[in-house]
Amino acid sequence: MREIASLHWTEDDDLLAQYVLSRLSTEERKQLDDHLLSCSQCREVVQKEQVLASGIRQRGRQEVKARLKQQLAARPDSYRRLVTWQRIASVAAVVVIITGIGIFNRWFTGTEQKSFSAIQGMQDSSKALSSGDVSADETRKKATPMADQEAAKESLRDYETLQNPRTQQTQSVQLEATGPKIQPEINSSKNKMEKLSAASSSEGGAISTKKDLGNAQSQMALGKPNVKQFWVEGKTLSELQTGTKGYNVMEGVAAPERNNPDSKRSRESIRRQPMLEGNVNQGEIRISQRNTSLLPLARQKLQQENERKIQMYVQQSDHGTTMTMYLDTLFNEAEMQNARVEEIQPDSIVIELESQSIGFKLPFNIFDLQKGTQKTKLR
Amino acid sequence: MSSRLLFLNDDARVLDMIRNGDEKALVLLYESNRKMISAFIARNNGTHDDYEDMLQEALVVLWERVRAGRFEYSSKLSTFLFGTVKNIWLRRLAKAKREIPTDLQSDDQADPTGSVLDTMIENEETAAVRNALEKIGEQCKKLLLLFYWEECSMEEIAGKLGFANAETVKSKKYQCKKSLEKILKQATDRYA
Repeated sequence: MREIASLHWTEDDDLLAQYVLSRLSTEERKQLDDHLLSCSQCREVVQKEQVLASGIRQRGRQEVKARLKQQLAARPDSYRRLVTWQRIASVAAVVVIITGIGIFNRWFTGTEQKSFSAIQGMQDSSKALSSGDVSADETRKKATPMADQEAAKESLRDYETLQNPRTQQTQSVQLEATGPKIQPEINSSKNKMEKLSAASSSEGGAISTKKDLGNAQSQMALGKPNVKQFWVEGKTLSELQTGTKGYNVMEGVAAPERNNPDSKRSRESIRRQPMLEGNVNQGEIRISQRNTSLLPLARQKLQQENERKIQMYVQQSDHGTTMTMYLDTLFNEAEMQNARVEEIQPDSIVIELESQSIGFKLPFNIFDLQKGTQKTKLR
Repeated sequence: MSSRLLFLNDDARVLDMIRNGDEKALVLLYESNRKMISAFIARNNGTHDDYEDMLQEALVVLWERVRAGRFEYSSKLSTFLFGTVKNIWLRRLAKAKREIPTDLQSDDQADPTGSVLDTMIENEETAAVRNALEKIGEQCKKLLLLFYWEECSMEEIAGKLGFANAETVKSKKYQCKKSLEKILKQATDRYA
C-alpha cells in the first residue's frame, strides 16, 4: 500500500493523477476519500484535476474518432451503404443506354457500314480485274479509304481465324542480297494474308497471274492494286544439269554451273555487274520459310509427287516481294541471315544458303513491279 | 477455462490489436457490428448519422478501456458495444428530451461505461481544457495526451518523446500542466 505522508495528499501531483485516473487500489482510494471528506481545499484540487483529465481524455477520444472516420472513409466498403437498389437500378439503366447507343452506332452508322464498304470494294475490285476495267478499279480505290481498309483487314483476320486456325510459324531473317535489298519479314499480317491467298490459289504450278490476282482480291481491297501472288517450284542447284553458257538449265530455271571451275567467278562477275538498270537493288525482297506441313492441300500433293522440288509462294506488290519457301527441314537462323538472292536471269533467281542454293524460275521479272516494267533490262 | 475459450475467438485478436495500438481493430469491429447497431438505432428514432456516431463513440470507449487496462472481458465485444451504444443513446435521447422508447430503459447492470472518467464531463470546463490543449505547444499536448489519455507510464513517455528518463518527463509534465492551467485561468474564472 502506498505511503500517504502528506497532510494534503493532493499536493502530490503523481498521487493526484493516480487518483483521478482510477489507478489506485480500493483501499488506497478509500483512504484518500476519507481525507477529502474533511478537506475542502483538497476536494477543489481533485475537481480541477478531474476536469483537466476529462478534457484531455475527451481530446484523445476526438482524435481517435477522427482517425477512425478517416479510415472508414478511405475504406472502399464504406460505399457499400450507398449502394441501394435505386442506385443499382440507375447505374444499370445508364449501362443499358450506353450499350444501346453503341449497338445502334455499330449496326447503323459505324463499323458495319465500313465493313460493308470494304467488302463492296473487294467485289468491285474483283469485277474490275476480271473485266480489265481500270476505271472500276479506280472507283474502288476511291471507295475504300483507310478506315475501310482497316475494316477489311479485320474481316480478313476474322475469316482467316475461321478458315485456318492452325498456327503458322514463320522464321524470318534479314538478308543482304548482292542483288536486291532484302528486308526482314516481320509483318505477320502479310503472312496471314499470304496464307489465305495461298490456300485459295489454284493448282498447276506456275503461273496464272491473272487468276492469282483474282484470288488476291482481298489484298487488292487493302489498297495494293498491283499485287501478284503465285506459286513457283524450285530445285537445289546441285541437281541441275550443266548448260552450255555457264548456266544450269532445268525446268526453266537458269543458274550458274556449280561444277564448272569458272562458275564461281562467273557468279561473282554477275554479282558485280549492275544486273539491272534502274536501281533495282533498292527493291525489297523478304524471304521466309515454313514447314511443308503448312502447304495448302493442292500444293502438298505436288510436293509429294516430287519431293526434290521446293514449293515457294511469291507475293509481289508495290511495297516489295515476299517469298516463302516451304521446306521439310527449316534452315536455322544463322543460315537464313547469311542467305543471298541473286537474279541470274530476268525471270530466274537463286536463293543461296550456306548449305545449298535453290533456283527458281519466275513467271516474270520480279523487279518489274517495283521499278516499272520497262526499266529493268539485263545487260 | 471459460475465459481461455473466449479468447480463442476473433475478439482475442481484436483486443490484441487494440492493446498494440492498431486502430484497424476499430474498423473491423465497426464493420462486424454496424448492421446490429444500425437496426437498433433505426428502431429507436435514430438516423443513419446517429448510428454511425453512436458506434464510433462506443468503439472509442472500448479503445480507451482496453488501452488503459480497465477492460474486463466478460462478454463478447459485440455485446459490450451494443450495451455501450444503448446507454449513450439513452443519455442523448434524454438530453434532447425526446421520447424514450419503452424497450430502451436504462439497464445499469448492462452499462459497461460506468467509471470515474467514463462518465464524461461534457461541459464548458472540459471544452475549455480541450481548447487550451491546442495552445500549449505540440510537445506538451503529446505528453499530456500520453499521460491522461493513453495512460502511459513515465518511462514509456520518455521513450516515445525522447526524454532522458522518467524524472525528466515528470518535471516536464508538471510544467505543461501549469501552462495549461495558466491558459485556462486566463479563459475562465474558475481557475482564477
